[in-house]
Amino acid sequence: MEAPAEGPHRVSLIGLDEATRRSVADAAARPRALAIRTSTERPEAPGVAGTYSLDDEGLHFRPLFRFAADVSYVARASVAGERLLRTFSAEPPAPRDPPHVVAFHPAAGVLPANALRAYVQFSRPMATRDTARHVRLQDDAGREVPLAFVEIDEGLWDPGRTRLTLFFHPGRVKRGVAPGERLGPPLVDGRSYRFVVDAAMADAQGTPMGAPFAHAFRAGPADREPPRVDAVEIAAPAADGTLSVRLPEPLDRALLQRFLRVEDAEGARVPGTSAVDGSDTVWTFRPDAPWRSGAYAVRIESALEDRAGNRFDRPFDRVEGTETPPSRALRVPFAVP
Amino acid sequence: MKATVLAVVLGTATPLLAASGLTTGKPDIRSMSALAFGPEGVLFVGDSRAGAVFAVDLGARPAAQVKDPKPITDVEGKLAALLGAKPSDVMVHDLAVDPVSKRPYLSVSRGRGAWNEQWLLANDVADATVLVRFDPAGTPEVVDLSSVPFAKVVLPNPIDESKKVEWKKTSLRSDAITDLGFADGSLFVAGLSNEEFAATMWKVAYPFDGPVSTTTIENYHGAHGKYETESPVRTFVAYPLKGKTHLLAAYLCTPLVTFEASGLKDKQHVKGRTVGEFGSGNYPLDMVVYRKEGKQKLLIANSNLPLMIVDPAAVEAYAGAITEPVKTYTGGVAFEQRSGTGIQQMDNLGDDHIVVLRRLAGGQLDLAPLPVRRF
Repeated sequence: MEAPAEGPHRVSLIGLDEATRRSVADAAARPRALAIRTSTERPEAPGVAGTYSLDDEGLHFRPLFRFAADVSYVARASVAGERLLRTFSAEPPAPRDPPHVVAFHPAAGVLPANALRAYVQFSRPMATRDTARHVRLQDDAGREVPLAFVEIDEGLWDPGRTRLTLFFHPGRVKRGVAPGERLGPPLVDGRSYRFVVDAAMADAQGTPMGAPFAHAFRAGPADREPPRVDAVEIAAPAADGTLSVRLPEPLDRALLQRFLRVEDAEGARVPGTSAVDGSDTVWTFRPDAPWRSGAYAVRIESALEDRAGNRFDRPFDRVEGTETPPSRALRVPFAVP
Repeated sequence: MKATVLAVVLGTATPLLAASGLTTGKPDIRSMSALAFGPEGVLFVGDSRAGAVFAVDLGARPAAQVKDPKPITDVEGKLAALLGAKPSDVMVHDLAVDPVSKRPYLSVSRGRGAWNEQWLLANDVADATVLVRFDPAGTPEVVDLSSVPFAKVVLPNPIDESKKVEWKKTSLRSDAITDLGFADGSLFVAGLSNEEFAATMWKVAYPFDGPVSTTTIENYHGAHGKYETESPVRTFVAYPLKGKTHLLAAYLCTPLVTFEASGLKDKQHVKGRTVGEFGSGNYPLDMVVYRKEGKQKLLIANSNLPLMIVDPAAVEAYAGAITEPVKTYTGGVAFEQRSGTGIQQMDNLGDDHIVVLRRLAGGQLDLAPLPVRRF
């Protein structure tokens, strides 16, 4: 009997003598030689459906569906005047290790008070139902900050359902908008907070985390300055070909993965793989093919934002005439010697 | 549901499937959402997941007469034994009786983990992937479809997997095909498409060598007090009214609607005539036509109401149409009630019986031949 929790299942009758082997050469004789039923109490019940095969090792039965751990099976063999009987069940599946939070971004201990987004990376695809009920923001007294995030019942998930995007309520972050005027911003400069995912948050199979996740951080001054292109530093590719781009400040992690790219002198995209460090300030890129000497550039799509939603070409919100004019060039050239 | 065959094949010879265009192999069926037998015992399988209809030749088999049929008890217990599962882990999706061998065929799924609310139908909960037939002794066997002569026709524009039923939080794709019926050389396929008006009746000539026609359909729901274009036909039969083939279709909550078959033209939108309102809060689950004392009647099985008998002559005589809200719970054509709750599927078993798949008060599911004389 082979009925492991993973992998194919089969029941085999091995060590057949020549006479027995001849007797089961006819496919119609095989169910009489080897039959699998779900219980001993109901002999009239049909045998379990499956297919038979005969090879050098012996006679094999493979069930149409995998055997279940919570059903008791009886295998009866009747060959050469001998009767064999075995009862078995499939091995129960290994208890699933609970899902957990792999990372919270921005990972820094200090967030601008007007932070716009946060990302929670889980270890496996999660159940999306009632996501909003399982995540909350607590202030330094452990009280829940009401309406901290935009409430979306099923949450904003990536297609693989491992990354949850949270929007700090933009109506409370943006100045001069009713909810912000009434409730104030969700984060206040100088205060401490805890972002919490409760223990009931479950994966797609329903296995709960079992233990809550918490990430502590402090709110710092609001960031209303666009990141500056002229502050982007590009180091020459390292010996292994990895290009490092130091950003002027931590940028939005998810957008970094989509809106930065390397172009050649003609403006064509250089294929390769990119990564963002834990502080969201260094973007690295390794081309699929070795670098050739010549001119390249890092292209910044205008949709790239910092943690507070400021773009390279304009701040998230601004009071007319008070902020520095944003930088415009969205292409940072560099050369490979 | 049933074979809506106007002329039931009762030949004694081994049927020869004259149909051309069949290839031998393994049909790539993803969900056996609806079953119906067609001419010469060909089995039609409506596959909502694949958005396709298959015609399967089950091979030469002796023609049988129905003699003193017996109920098959504990259907789920027997299917569970066959599939190596617990009885609570198997589910029957549809029933069709082979008009040649008179054997009942069931489409069956294993596992019902997705069940979470009372209005889910079997096809909302799981995909049936196993075809099972019972032998005369009441023992089930899996029908091996690994190498059979078959034909497949892909339906144009079946409803997207991503579209949801708001009130039951399921994918509308489960209702891409809700029922099948064969009449006048064509297979009618009821379900939902991506067209502006989702409720659709496709028509496919058999053998499957011609184009598929798509007609979107709508009807007035007297219980809801509005015209509906999204609600799919739940069950229908083809029947001649005043000498012309009509489709008699029943919908959730429970209007009975007639469509003249010749009016179901490709790329047209057709309004049906609502001739009855038989009670809200109810799925009509299946419908068959039977003959008693020389007269044909329509029998409807329901999720929440008893069996209903409708006289087609009364439908013919009913000149009007329901176009205003019905405030009296039922309205339109008169119908009779008979005992018979818990009946999920029905089909004709010869001329004198209707075999029903029913949930008994004690919890068991059985497959019982009911003599038509009791109706």
